[in-house]
This record gives sequence, C-alpha cells and structure tokens, in this order.
Amino acid sequence: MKAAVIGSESQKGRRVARDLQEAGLETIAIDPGQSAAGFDVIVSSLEGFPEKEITSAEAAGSHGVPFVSGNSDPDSAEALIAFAESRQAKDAPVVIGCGWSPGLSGILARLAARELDSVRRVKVSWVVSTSGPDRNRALARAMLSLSGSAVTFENGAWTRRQAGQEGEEIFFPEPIGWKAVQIARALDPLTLPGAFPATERVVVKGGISEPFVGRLVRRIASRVTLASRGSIERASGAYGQLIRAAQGFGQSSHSWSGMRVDVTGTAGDATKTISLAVVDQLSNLDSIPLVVSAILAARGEIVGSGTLDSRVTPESFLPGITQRGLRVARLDRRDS
Amino acid sequence: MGKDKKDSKVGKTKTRKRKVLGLAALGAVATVLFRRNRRSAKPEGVWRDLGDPRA
Repeated sequence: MKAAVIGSESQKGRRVARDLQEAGLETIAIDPGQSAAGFDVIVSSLEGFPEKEITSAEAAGSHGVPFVSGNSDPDSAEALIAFAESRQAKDAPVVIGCGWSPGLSGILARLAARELDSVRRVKVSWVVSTSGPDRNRALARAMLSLSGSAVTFENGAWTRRQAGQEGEEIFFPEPIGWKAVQIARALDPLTLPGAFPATERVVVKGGISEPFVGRLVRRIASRVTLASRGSIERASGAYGQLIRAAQGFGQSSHSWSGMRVDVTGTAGDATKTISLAVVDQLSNLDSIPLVVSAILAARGEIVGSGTLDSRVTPESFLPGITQRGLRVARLDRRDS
Repeated sequence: MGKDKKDSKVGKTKTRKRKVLGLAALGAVATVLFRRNRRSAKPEGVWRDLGDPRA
C-alpha cells in the first residue's frame, strides 16, 4: 500500500510518515494539491490552511483516493465540515478530525453512549503539558483554543461563549490528576449533537497542566481579539519571553497530556455518567489516531465522508491505537 | 512593648498601610494553601484500563 503525506515537514508530519512506514506502507511526502494518482490514501498533517486541505481532498477524490485529515485547528473546522458534508456517497471518502480531540474524543463518546438509553450531555476535557519536548505545540494549541469565541451546544441549540472562561477542575488519570480547564474552541460541539439526537449540551474544555503557565496563557489569549492563527502567532511572539520565563518557573514533574470524555444520560430510570480518558505524550496523542485512520482508509475499511467518529466504530479503531501504546481508561467512581 | 508602640514615630497612615500590607500577605498565603489543598484533593475515583474493546 502507498500513502502520501501532506505537511510532512512538521514534527507531526514526520512522525506520521515514520509510523506509516513502520506499519508497512510505502510513504511519500507530497505538496498540497499534488496528483494523488497511484496512492491508496492521502494523509494531511496540516494544522490550519483548510483551503489547502480542500484542494488536496479534491485532487485525491478525482483519482478515487481516500483523504484523511488530522487538522485540529478550530478556525478550519467549519470549512472542513462543510466540505466533507458536500461529498456524495459514491465519492472517495474524506475523513476529517482524525486526531485526539476532535477524533478519538468522538469515538470515546460513542463508546460510552452504548451504556446509556439516551445521551443528555457530552463534555470533552483536555489538558496539555508545556514541560516536555512538545511545549511549543502545546502552547500553540492552548493559545488557539482558549482565545476568541467558542461554539458550544446548550439546551439543544448552538451558542457562542467566550473561550478561556467557566473554569473547573477535572480529574484526569495519573500522573496528571486534578487540572483546571476552561471553555475551548473545538469541532466536537458542531458535530457530536448529530450523533446523539436527545443531547442537550456538548462542550469542550481545555487547559494547561502547569497552573502558572495556564493562567498566563489565558490572560494573553483573552487579549487576542482576532482569534486567528496569525494573530495568535503574533501574540505568542510578543509574549514569547514572558511565557518562556513562566515555563521555567512553573515546570511540572511530568510532561503528560490527556483527554477525558464524560457522557451523561439515562440508563433505565437512573441518570448515569460514563467517563473515559487517555493519557500520553502530546506527540503520540496527535499522531497515533491519524496513523490508524490512514491505515483503515488505505485498506478500504472506511466508507463515506464525515468526521472520524461517524466513519469508524470503536471496535475497528481502538485496537489500532491500543497496539501503538495509547491506552483508554475508564473511571470507577468512589460513590458507584 | 506598649511603651515602644506609644513612642513609635510611625504615623497613622503608615500604620494603616502596614495593616493593609499584612492583610494582603495573609490573603496570599491563604490562597496558596487553599490551592495546594485543592490540588491534593481526593481522587474522584479509580481509573482502570479499558482493555480491548473487542473482548
């Protein structure tokens, strides 16, 4: 099988290309929009640049080649969703949101929902560490997600909230433990309500593991009025020294990042919350779901276009990530 | 002690400032302790490996 990787010059792209090669796929780096003839899958590891991804997906589609995207950039979400929804059933698959959040988050939500008769609330919480080798990527993700206005799904309708607000403490698997998270811009509130018709609320919250850096980033993110990649990069540059100083001051004893999905609904007469989570290094969380999606697409095991969670089942997807070392954990509550 | 205080040349404004600063310092210490305590709060439960979803 042959895979083409777009954005292979980035750290994430290099990692995805390496993992695909290790999985036995002949992997070649191509530019966005380049011909997809002869490939079994086109994999995009771009962050942002939805127009480049759409051009590449169209080029892939013209040769009947599936296209998978790990783009988690909140600014790109709406354009990519609209493009995926415009695809016909007979077209080659275009699968978006093949990351950890969005991506694995939706799959875990669907897995949890199986234990419920109806889903009322879905909350995705993530935390990134700025202490390890992925600190710059973690910072960029947090800055982008915690600035501007976030779409949330409340009382059965989409609404906008100020990102970086409504903080709460969430318990992640060890060694992360309790961490503060705030409303974050994300793709899940746009897509998950479609998977659970009775749901009233879908919200994504995110944060930084190191409290001091987290507070500083939120302060900066709240001042960025144009929540675009460009303005964030400018703000990151301007405040870069300050953040670096804070990183030195607020180092954590570990560099783990993680995500937790809480699905609340009814089971019989009772209200029940199922909580699932993953914890790993940010580079693994970013790349492993994309690699597994690409392998499934290359094998022809993904049919139709849309978000990752709508195109695969937990049974077909989770063994691939478990095999690569990402373990899913479930919370047994003290009171249950 | 009482004599020292009486003899002090520190004026009323300075005394008030010291009181405010002292209270602020106490507040900061209390905040730090509260946050530390909250961070080491009891776990919500036990995370268990889900294992293979096909099983």
